[in-house]
Amino acid sequence: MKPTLRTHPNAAVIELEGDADLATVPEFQKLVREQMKAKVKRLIIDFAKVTFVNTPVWAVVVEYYQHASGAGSEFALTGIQGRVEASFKIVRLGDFILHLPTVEEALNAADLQSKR
Amino acid sequence: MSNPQPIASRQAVLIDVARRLSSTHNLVELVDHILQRSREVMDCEVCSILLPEGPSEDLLIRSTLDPINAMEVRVPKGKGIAGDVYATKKVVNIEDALNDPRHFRPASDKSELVTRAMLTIPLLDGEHCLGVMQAINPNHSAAFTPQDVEMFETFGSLIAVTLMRLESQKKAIREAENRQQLSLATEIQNSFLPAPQVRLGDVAVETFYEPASEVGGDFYFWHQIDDGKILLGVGDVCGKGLPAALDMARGTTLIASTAHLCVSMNLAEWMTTLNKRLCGVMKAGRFIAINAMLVCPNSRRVHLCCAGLPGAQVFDGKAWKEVPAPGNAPLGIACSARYEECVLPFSTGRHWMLFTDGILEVQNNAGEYFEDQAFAAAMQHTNGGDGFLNHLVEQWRTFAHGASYQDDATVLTITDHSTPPPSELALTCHPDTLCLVRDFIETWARYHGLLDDTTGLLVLGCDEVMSNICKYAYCSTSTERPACCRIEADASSVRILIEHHGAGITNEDFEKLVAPPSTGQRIGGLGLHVISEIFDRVDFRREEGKSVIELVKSTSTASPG
Repeated sequence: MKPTLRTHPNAAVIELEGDADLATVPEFQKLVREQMKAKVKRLIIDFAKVTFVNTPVWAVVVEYYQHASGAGSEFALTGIQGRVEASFKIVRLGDFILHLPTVEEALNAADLQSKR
Repeated sequence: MSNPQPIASRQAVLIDVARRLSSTHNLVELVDHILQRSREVMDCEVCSILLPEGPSEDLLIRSTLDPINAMEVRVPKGKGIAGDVYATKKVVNIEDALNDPRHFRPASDKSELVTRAMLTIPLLDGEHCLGVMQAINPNHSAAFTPQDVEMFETFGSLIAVTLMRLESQKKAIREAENRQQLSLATEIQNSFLPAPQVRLGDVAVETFYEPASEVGGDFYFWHQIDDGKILLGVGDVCGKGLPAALDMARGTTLIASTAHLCVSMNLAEWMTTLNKRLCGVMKAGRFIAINAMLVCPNSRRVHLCCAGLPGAQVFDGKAWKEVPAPGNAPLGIACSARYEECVLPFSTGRHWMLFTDGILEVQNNAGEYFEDQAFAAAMQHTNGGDGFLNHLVEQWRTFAHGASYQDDATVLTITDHSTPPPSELALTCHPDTLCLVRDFIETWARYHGLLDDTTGLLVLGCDEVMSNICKYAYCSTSTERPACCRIEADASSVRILIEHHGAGITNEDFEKLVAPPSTGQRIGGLGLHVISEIFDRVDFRREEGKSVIELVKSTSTASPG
């Protein structure tokens, strides 16, 4: 699975697809770190097309969350459903990280911080 | 009074009559022939034969006098000389019948015959009187002579034999007709049953069906439903004979017409629906016991609903066991009854068996029930082999041989011929091969009918273990990175063993490293947290130079529906 990046005027969207596992991490991590360097104002990671996700992938998500918290960037996850949701619940990242149903909702939100 | 017929001539007639008697098959023709020739034999004015008719045993007169035949004259039981002879089985020879106190002339007899002398003989079959014959008014003398009596008795004995032959033939014809009708009834009843054997994809269905008589109240059914599900079962209508057979027809028809509902409803709901419909049409006091199964090849799960019949059996690879299913009331009794089912993985056993109580309740000559010992012995002897139904039936027949009582008996077996997926996977540990482990677990869990949520968690948990092995157990320079994954299940849990040759951790390490997630935690702890959340038991150990991780998760697939 190759993560893809879509850029919007005020946001970047990383879209994952299929099984997100240890083999996915290097490319996904590279893309995420590029967004850190680019200091994107708002990053959205979309899981709508993901069928499986494990903790190495969540670790990358946490890495960006920690960066965003210090850098004042906005960050949200979208499209978490099915087995991804089960995994997300076990790692309890929902306690910290904003997650919305759709990318559109995350893009259209005036202020993601206020949604938390 | 005319000249008497020569005796030789009368004897010749007698011999001719005897010859003709054996070639006649029609009673009316025979009687007419007897009467015509009896006048010649007896050389008299009138001859009559009186045969009992109907339950009253009144004697119906057939005579050489046509008016009497036309009037269908009857002598009530015990009346008249004929009635007396019929009762006493003794010959009565009277010279002046009109003045005999026993003389009785039925009101319906409007003939102009004036009876003088009368000879009445019984037609005997041993002690049983078939009827009587009368000769009236001899032509050759005022009364019948002893020689006449002897000749008439000889004639009568010939007739008695012929009547017996005809009666026997009539009985044989009646029995043949009954047999034909019952055979037709059997054929009609069998038309309500599907083929006794069928292969539906990987599922083979075989049946044994033996009504105690030509028609019975037992039945079996199987229906393949549009979405691939298979609805099957056995039933037993209360009572026996034709009423039971008619209710059996009603039951199987309703089952066939509602089977498609199992696409959208579970088995318990379908049984509830079927019960309501049966309650609407069954007569008071009648009911049907049904054990039904719904096999879902796609989800690899089996629904079982038992209503009034012995519990289903499953062969789990080692022994036949009764499936622990909730009991329900037979159908057709209470419209408001609610039915419960149990749901099991289809892989619980390769063979399943449903049967009616006629199998268990048969008694041998020693008074033992098949249920007592022989059933279990017969089942275990088969050891789950494919011929187990034949073996069971053979044992049952041997046991029941000569039994005075036998109920309808039906068995339906289901054999799963699908090939189980492998329960072991050997691989080289690498991020690119982790998908093989996930596919391995997924395929195995689906085949074993685990719920999708449980399957997802097993896949995630194993992936977490394998990811940790990839990242931490084998150093980045390791070229040989073997790992092995094994999985097995029992009725209540799934056990996964993962072996590798890298540096493993101990249970103490695990306890220290596992921690609730937080954004400040390092990555490894999060994976171990997931593992500890998913599995009920996790054990890290070293065995024969290998690191072993044992993961156990309880399953709740055998839940009431």
